[in-house]
Amino acid sequence: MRRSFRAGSFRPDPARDVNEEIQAHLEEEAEGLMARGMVREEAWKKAREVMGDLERYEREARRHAAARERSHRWMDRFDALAQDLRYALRRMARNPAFTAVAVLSLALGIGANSAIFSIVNTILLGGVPMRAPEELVEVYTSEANQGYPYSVSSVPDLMDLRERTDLFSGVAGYEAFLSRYETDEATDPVVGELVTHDLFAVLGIQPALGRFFVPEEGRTPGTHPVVVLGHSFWQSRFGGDASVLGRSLRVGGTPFIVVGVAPREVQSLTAPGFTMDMWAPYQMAGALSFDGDGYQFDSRGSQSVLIRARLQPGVTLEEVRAALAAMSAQHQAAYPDSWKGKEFSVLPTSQVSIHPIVDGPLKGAAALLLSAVALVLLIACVNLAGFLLARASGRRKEIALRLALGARRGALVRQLLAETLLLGLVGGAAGLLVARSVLKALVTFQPPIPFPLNLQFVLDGRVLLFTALVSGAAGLLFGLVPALQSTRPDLAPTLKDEAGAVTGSRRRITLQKVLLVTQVAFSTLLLLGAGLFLRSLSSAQDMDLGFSARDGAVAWVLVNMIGADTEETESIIRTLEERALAIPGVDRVATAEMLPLGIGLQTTNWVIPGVEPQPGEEYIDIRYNLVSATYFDVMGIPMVAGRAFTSEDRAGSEAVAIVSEAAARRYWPGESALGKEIRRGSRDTPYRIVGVAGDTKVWTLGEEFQPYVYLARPQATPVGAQIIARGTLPDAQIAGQLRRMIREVDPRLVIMETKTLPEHLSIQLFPPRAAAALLGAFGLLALILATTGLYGSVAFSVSRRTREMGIRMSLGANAGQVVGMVLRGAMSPVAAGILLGWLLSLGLAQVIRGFLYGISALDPVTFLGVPAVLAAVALAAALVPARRASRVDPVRALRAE
Amino acid sequence: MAGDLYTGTLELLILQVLSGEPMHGYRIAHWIRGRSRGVLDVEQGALYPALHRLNRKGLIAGEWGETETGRRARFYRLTESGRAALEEELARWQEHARAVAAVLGKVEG
Repeated sequence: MRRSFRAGSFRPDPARDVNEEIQAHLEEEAEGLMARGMVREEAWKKAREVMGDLERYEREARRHAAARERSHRWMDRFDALAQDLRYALRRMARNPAFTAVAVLSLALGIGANSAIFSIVNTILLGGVPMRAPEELVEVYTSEANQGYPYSVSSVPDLMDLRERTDLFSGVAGYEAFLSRYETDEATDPVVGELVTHDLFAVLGIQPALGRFFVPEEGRTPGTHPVVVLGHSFWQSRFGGDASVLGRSLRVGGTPFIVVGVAPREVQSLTAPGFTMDMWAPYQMAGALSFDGDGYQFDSRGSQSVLIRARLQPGVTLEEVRAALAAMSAQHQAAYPDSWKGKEFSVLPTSQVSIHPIVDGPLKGAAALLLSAVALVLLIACVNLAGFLLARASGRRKEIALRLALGARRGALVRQLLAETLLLGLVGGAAGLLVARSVLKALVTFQPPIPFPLNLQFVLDGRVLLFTALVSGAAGLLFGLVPALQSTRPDLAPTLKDEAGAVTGSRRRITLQKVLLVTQVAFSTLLLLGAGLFLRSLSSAQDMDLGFSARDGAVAWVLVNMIGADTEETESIIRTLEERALAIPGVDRVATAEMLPLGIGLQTTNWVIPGVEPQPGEEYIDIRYNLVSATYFDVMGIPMVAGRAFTSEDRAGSEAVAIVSEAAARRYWPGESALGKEIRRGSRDTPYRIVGVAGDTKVWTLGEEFQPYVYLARPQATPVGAQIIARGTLPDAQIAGQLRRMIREVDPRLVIMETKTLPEHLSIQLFPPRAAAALLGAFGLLALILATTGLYGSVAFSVSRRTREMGIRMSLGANAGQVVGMVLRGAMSPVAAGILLGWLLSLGLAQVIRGFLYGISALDPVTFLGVPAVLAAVALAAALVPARRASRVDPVRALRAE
Repeated sequence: MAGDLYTGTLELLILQVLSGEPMHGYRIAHWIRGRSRGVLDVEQGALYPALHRLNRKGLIAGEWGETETGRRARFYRLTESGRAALEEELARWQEHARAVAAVLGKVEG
C-alpha cells in the first residue's frame, strides 16, 4: 500500500454502502420494468418482490461488510505502524548525528537506571523463593538497652525454640562460614552456610540435584560430613556434572560427601547478592571453621545463628510474640549471666529484606539512588526534547503544509512519536549493555581483600521489563512536547513567517537555561571531586609511609588453619622463610603477622608502668605486630635507637619488644624508652624494650603516626604470616614462586593471597580510587548530558533567530560578530554553572578532606584545570551550531522564505 | 430461489460470473437468471449477503463505479485467490455431477 498522505483517505461506512448498493439495484430493476411498460408503483413493487426478504439479506450483507471493515482496519493500523516505523528509520538514518547523540545519552541514562534497579532488585526485592512465605518469621535475640536490637541467637536458644512445636512447624538456623577447599592443585578459601538439617524443608526449597539434609545428619557432632553445593560452585568447579553426587571433597581438611546441589535461585540466605559455595549441617562446624576452634555451640552467651521459623497453621504473630516474651522472661531468670537484658523479637520474614537494622537505611539509599538516576534520565530527555524542538522548527513549514492539506494532527504526532519511541527503545537496548558492563565492573571493582565476595547482579526478567518500560516512557517523554508543539494547529503565523512562534517559548527557554546551569554545575562539582581524588592518588604514590613499598612480593599464609600448635606454627613459618630465601633471585625475606596498611589491624592491651590508661579503661590499647628479626631491614624501617630483633630472640629467651618513635615519645617523653618494661594485658611476662623503630603508617594513609609495638615472632603465637620477599627477580614472579613454594612445603596450608607490595597498597588506595571512578563516571555522564543540552539549546535559538541574523548581517555585521553574539548567549549559563559548581566544590572539598593525601583540599591544579576543561568542551558544543548562524544568507533569510 | 439453491452454489455461480469481467449486483443477478433460463431464479436480495461474504473472504473485491445507466454502483471483480477458489470448486462440482450422473444412469439403465 502506498499512501504518503493518509489524511486524504476517508473512513468507509459499510452499512451505508450496502444500502446504497441495494438501492441502486432496485432502481435499475424498476427502471427496466417501467421500460417494458409497467407503471412506476407497479414496477417498484415488483422489483422489491424479486429481491425477496430484503430486510434479512441487507442485515446479513451488512454483517459481512462490517466484519471485513473491522479486519481491514486492523491491517490498516498495522500498515500505518509499519509505515511510521519506516519513516522513523529513514529520519534516523538521515540525521546520524542526532541519532547518535540521542542513543548515547539515552543509553547512559537508561543504563544507569537499569543498573541501579538491578542492584536494588537483587538485594532488596530478590532473595530466595520460599513456599508460603507469609507463614515465615524471623526470630532474633535482642539486647535493646545495649544497642543490639535484632541480634543473632545462640545455638542452645535455637534448640529451645525448636521444642516449641505448639508455635512453629519448623525452626531453622543458619550462619555463614569461611573455610578452605583443597584439590590436588590448590587450596582455596570457600564461603558457605552452616544450617540446621531441616532449613531447606522449613523454607520449602527443592534441590536442583540430589537431596538436602536428613535428620540424622543434624543429630551428632562431626559424624556426618555431607555438603550441598551452591549452583554456581557446581557449575564452575564441576561443569554442572550430575555425577558430582556422592563425590568426596576436602573442605577444611575433612573429606565431605556431596549429597545435593542447591537450585540456582538460592544463592545465599545470610547475605543477598552474595553467592555461597556450599551448605553443611551445623554438626560439622568443628571441621569447617576457619580458625579451627572458633565455634562454641554449647554456650548461650555465644550468639551467631540467624533463625527463621514457620508458624503452625492458625498461630498468629501476636501469639508467637506473647509466647516468646514469656520464654524470654524464663531465660532471663534461668540464665542470668548470658540472658541479662535480652529478649526474643519476632518479625514476619516478608517485612525483612536483609536485616531489620540495615533495611531502613538500605531502602532509603535505594530510593535516593533510583531518584538520582531517574533525574539523570529526565535531564537527558529534556535535553533531547530541546534538540528535537530545534530540529522541528526546521520542519515547521512541511508540517504546517501537511496540516493545511488535511493531514490529521494525531497521525502526525504519532509519526513523530514513532521516531522518538524507536530511539527510546534502541537507547534502552544500548542501555542494557551499559548496565551490564557497569554491573560487571562493579562486581570486579570490589575491595582488594582476599575473600571471594561473589557478588552477582543479574539482568533478570524484572530488570528487562523495567528497562523496557523506562525506555518507552523516555521515548514518549522527550518526543511528546516537541511533537505536540510542532503540530500545533496555529498554522497561519508559521506559514507566513517564523516570528509568530517566538513569543510563546520565552518561558521554556528560561527553563532550559536553568536546567543547563544545573547540569553544568553538577558536572563541575563531580569532576572537581574526581579530580581531587585522582590528584590525591598520584601524590599518595610519593607519600612517606615509613617503610618501602616500591617493590617486593607478599604471600599471606594462614598456618593455624591446619591445626598447628605454637611450636609447629613457628617451625612451619621458619621453613617457609628458609625456602623463600632459597628461591633464585630472592635476596631478602621477612615475615610479619600482619603487614601495615592491610585489611587487618591488631591491637592488644598493655600495661605500661607509670602510664595511666584512658579514664574508664583498665589497659592501654596499642597496635602491635609479630615480626621476624629481618623485618626492619627488609621493610626499610630504620632503627632510631637500640637494636632490631636478632635470631637470639627466641621462645624461652628474654622477652623483648621494639616500640615505634611515636610510642616512645608518648609514653616516655623526655627519656629513653630503651630498657623500659611493658606487659601484655593481665599476663605477667614483661617485655623489655630493646629498640625504637621509625614510625610507619599502619592503618590508613591519612593517619598521624601512632604508637606501635613490635614483638619477636618466635616469642609469641601468630595465626599466620605474611612473607615479604625482595630480590632481583620481578615481583610478580617472586609472588608466583612463593605460592608454589608454600604448596610444596605443605599443600594443606591456606594461601590467602600472593601479590606484590605495591598491590598490597591498593587496599588503602581503594576508597579514593573507587571515589574517583564513581565521581568521574557520574561527572562525565553529567558533562555529556550538559553538552547535548547546550548543543540543543544553541541550535534551537539559532534556528529561531535566522531572520534576526539575516538582518544583522545585512546591516553589516560580519560572521565573527554573529558567532560571537550566539556564543555569548550560550556561554553565559555555562559560566554561571561552572561558577556555581566551583563554589559547591569548595564545600565538598572540606567534606572529603580526610580522604585526600598529600594535596591541599583546595588543590589549585584541580580547581583551575577542571573548569578550564569544562569550559572548553562547552565552547566546542556551542561553536558547532553557532557557526551555522554565521552562514545565514541575509537575502534568503529576509525574504521570509 | 433461496430454498432451491445452496449458499455454496450461489457463491460458486457468482465466482463463475465474475471470472469474465467486473460486474455490479444487478448485472450479476440478471446474468445468472439469463444463463439458467430462469431455472435458477435467485431471490435477487440473496445475492448481497453472498457478495459481501465473498468480499470478506477476499475472493472478490468491490469498487464503486458508474453503470451504463449512469448510476453509482459497486463493481465486483475476482481476486487472485477468488480465481483459484473458483477453479478448485469447479473441479469438485464436476466430479460431483459426474458421480451423480453415473449413479442416476445406472438406476435408469
